[in-house]
Parts: sequence; structure tokens; C-alpha cells
Amino acid sequence: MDTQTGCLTDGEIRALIDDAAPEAMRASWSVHLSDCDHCRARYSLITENAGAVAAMLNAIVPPAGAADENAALRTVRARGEGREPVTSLVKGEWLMSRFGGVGRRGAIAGVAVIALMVAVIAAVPFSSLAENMLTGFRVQQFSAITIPMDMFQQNAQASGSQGFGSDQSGTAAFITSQLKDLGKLNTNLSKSSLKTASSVADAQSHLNGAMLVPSKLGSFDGVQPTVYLTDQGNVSYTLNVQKARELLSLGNIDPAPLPDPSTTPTVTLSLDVPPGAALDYQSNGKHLIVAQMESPTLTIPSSVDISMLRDEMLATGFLPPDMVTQLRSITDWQHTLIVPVPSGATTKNVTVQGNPGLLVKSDQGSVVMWQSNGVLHVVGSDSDVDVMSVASSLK
Amino acid sequence: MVGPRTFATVGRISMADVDAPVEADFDEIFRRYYATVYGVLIRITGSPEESEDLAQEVFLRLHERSGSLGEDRNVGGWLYRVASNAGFNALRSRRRLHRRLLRWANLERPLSASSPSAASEAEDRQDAELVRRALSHLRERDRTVLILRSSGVAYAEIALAIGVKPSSVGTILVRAEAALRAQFEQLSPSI
Repeated sequence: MDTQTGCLTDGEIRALIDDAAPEAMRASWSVHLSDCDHCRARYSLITENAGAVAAMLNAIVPPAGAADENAALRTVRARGEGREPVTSLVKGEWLMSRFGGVGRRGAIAGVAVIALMVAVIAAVPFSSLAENMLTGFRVQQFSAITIPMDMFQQNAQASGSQGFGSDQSGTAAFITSQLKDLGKLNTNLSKSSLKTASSVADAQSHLNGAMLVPSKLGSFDGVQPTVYLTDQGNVSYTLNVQKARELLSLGNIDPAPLPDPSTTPTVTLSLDVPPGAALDYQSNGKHLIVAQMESPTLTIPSSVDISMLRDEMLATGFLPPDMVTQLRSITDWQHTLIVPVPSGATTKNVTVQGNPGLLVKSDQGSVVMWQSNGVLHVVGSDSDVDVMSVASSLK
Repeated sequence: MVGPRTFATVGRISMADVDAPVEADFDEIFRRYYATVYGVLIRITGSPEESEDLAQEVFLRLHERSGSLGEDRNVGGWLYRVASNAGFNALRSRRRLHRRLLRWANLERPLSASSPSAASEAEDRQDAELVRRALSHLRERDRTVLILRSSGVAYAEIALAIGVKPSSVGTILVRAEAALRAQFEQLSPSI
């Protein structure tokens, strides 16, 4: 009840409509409602609103039968047998899960870290095709493109409960349903490709002694890191050329960049991902991540004119116009790794140990990334530690 | 008592006098909540196949966490929260890809209707898409409350899923409904 007017609140009226009012209050609220014209008018309005919304929400339920519960239970049981139990998700895992390509919504540092893993595929900084096969692509520099903030919606509740697999599964399910005729995706990377190790020495061993360790940690000084390792892996996509050409034609895109399907029915794009490692320093609930990985290698058959395809895609509204503008502004696109950042963040080109890099800052943290001799490095934190200072101290 | 909660313990919190072994408890929890979890997800994603996959992921997470559910004292609230988050996250990922594919395939134009039923289906699809777009403009908590309520979830479990008192659910619901209608009307050219 409103303490000043004695009338029912909107929430109480709504609970009455849903028959969800507390047992102890139901009778008195109902009596008040029957005696109060003002509350009855609001009751009608809220009822009408609730009904309209119920109808709207019914519209989004497809007319499909309910899922087979027994089959689903069998599947869950079977899948559960093959999984290791997850006891709890420590806070640092959101950032590392980004590094491993699975996981939870996170802050800007996480966005940037995962960008290293996926941007090669998603934003495609392909090289020109002079040889029979394009191999050995290496990231030489970084460029940020700004994307709408809602793509990286921050949500503490989601961050607290969103776990491994679901996001990845949802995306995979959609891709599978939409592109099942277009090609086949294969990968040996999985959740188990990300694992923890007991010491920095393990990371050194994992990377054949190439792991760089910071000597300056700022407020994380004296903290022993949690060590994460990612396995070497491969992602390949075998494209049905005929289907792909049909899809391009449907979108008024010239299919000429793709080969003749009568002679080349499929083409396979392959991404080799080298092993990676990361150190997660945790202090007072904050994290400092130091990660590195050799640049992934992208292999594309020469029968695909990727340069022409890129031009076609940028010209036909495949991406939002502002993103196209940003992508077009990157002149050396063949050697530039595109890093998507939310619109609220700031970016700056920097030099780290003599190498060009990109510094991304937001009110949720900062991250700097650079490459040196074909190795990608990332230092990120959700604290106010100077990531540039930490990055400069790596050796 | 401090210590890890098994399904048996979770069961006692949410289902009185359940003392069966952990695996049996999981089956019972699954059968009790699966349909609603699936209902929540299909309202969010609109895809039966994706909803089944996500629902399985949600219960797999529960299965994996059989040793500890942390502070989650109600398995229903936990499941609905995880399902909502999984659904909305999948939707965000999917929406980006879907938008690109539609643009790519030039299918954003209204579908040509060759028969009254085709026209009706096209309108239904457009309505559903408008509702989803309107939902996407709401705060995550508001979206979650609307979806859960629409799926038949009780106020007490909605409260646990979004971390508020049960007495606040009605108020949030009223505001979310008003916000959804306003967004829908703003997005709909015919209203």
C-alpha cells in the first residue's frame, strides 16, 4: 500500500492480476480495490497493458511442438559423462575464457583479448594472392574499429552466472542451422583446449621458453599468477562453392571471386592457431592478464579471389556503414588485425618495446596489444594499473 | 551449515523431503524444470533447435555443478537465471550474424505474399521480429522478467532469478510492460 494515499501500488495491482499477491494481503487489497475508483481505473489500465504484452510475447513463440524431454535428458546425461565437473567460476576466468574462445560476457579487456583469437576470421585481414596458396599470414599491426556498445552489453548478472559453452553453443547452433548447406565447419579446439597450469615454468615449457614475464607489476607486485594454457588447434571451413555463389547472387554480389563450381566444387579455408599462454595476477578482486600467442596462420586456396571478395562485401552493405567506413580507412588491410572495441572506449596507437601496438582504454579497464617477431602480446587489466608500464617490463 | 550442496541438498531447499541419490535428484529436477526452461529459451531465441541446445547446456551446467551451487539456494531461480542469460547472449551473437546474412542475401525487404496464408505468415514473422526488437531495447532485467512471466514462472522464482524481493516483481513487471509497449509502438510504423 502507498503509505501516503493508502492506495495499492502498481506492483500490488499487478500481483493481484496474476493471483500472486501474498496470502496475508490478498483479502485487504481486494477490499480496497472494490472500494477505490482510482485503483480500479489503474487495475483496468494495468490489466489491459498486461494482456497486450502477453499477446505480443505469444507472437514470438514459434508454432512448434515442445521438445522431447526424455530425449533431451538422455542427451544431457550422455554429454555430461564426457565433461569434467565445474565447481565454480573464479572471477579471473572471464578474461581467460575470452582468450580461450569460450565464455562469459566481460569488460573491454576481455573483448580485446578475444579479438585476437577471432578477428582474423571475423574481420578478415587477408593478404593478396600471388602464390598458389596463401599461407603464413602474420599480424604486423593493429587497428581498432568502433562498434555499437550493445554488442558488448555489460551485465553484472550475466557475468556472474553466464558460463562456459552456452554462448558458444547458441552461436554454433545458429550457424549450423543457417549455413548447413553452405559449408562445413571443423575444429579440434574445444573447452578443454583451455587449461590451467601450476607455474610460470609450465607456460615457458608450453611456449618453448618464449613466454615473456613482467618485472613490474604495480599494485600486483608480489602476487603469484594463475597460469592458463591454450592448446594448438585448427579451424577449417569447407565451402560449397555452388551454394556460396547462389547466395552471393541472391544478395546482388558478383560471385566472380569464387571459382567455377564445376571444376572446384568446394574450397577449404583453414586457420591454424598456435599454442598460447597467459598469466592472471589477481589482487583485491582485480586482475592483470599477461598473455601471448604466435599469430594464427590463415590458409586460403588461390581459387578464391579474396581481395575482390572483400571489395564486394564492403560495397554491398554486409557490414554497418560506419564499420565499412572504418574498414576502408585501413590502407594496409592485408597485414592489419582488426580489433573491435565498444563505442565507449578510447584507442591509441602506441609503441611497446619498439613494436607498434594498440592501447584500448575504457572505464572498465585497459589493454595494450602488440606483435613482436610474429608473436602477439596482450597486457590487460580491470584495475588502474599502468598496462603500458607492465608491457614495457616484459622480458 | 557450510559446505558444498549436492542435488539432494538443493532438492531439499526447493523440493521438500527429497532424499534420493544425486543422480535421481537430477532427473527429477530435469523433468520438473525442463519444459519451462525450454519455454523461456524459445521465447528469447525463437528457434526450437537452438532452444533445445541451450536448454541442454543449462542443465549440463547444473549437472557439472552437482558438487556446489554456491549461494544459489533455489534450483528453479538458478536455472531460469542461467537460461535467460544464455538465451540473451546467444541472441546477441546470433543477431549480429543474422543481420549480416539478411543484408547479404538482400532479404530485408518485405516478403512477397502470394496467398492470404503467406501474407499472414509474413505479418506474423514481422510482428515477432518487431517484438524481439522492442525487447532488445529494454533493460536486461526487464526483458528477463517479461520472458519469465510469459513462460509461466512464478513471482518467487522470478525474484530469485533476477535477485530482487518477490514483492518487487509486480512493480518491475508493470514498468517493463509499459516500456515494451512504448518501444513496440515506436518501432512499428503501422501503430
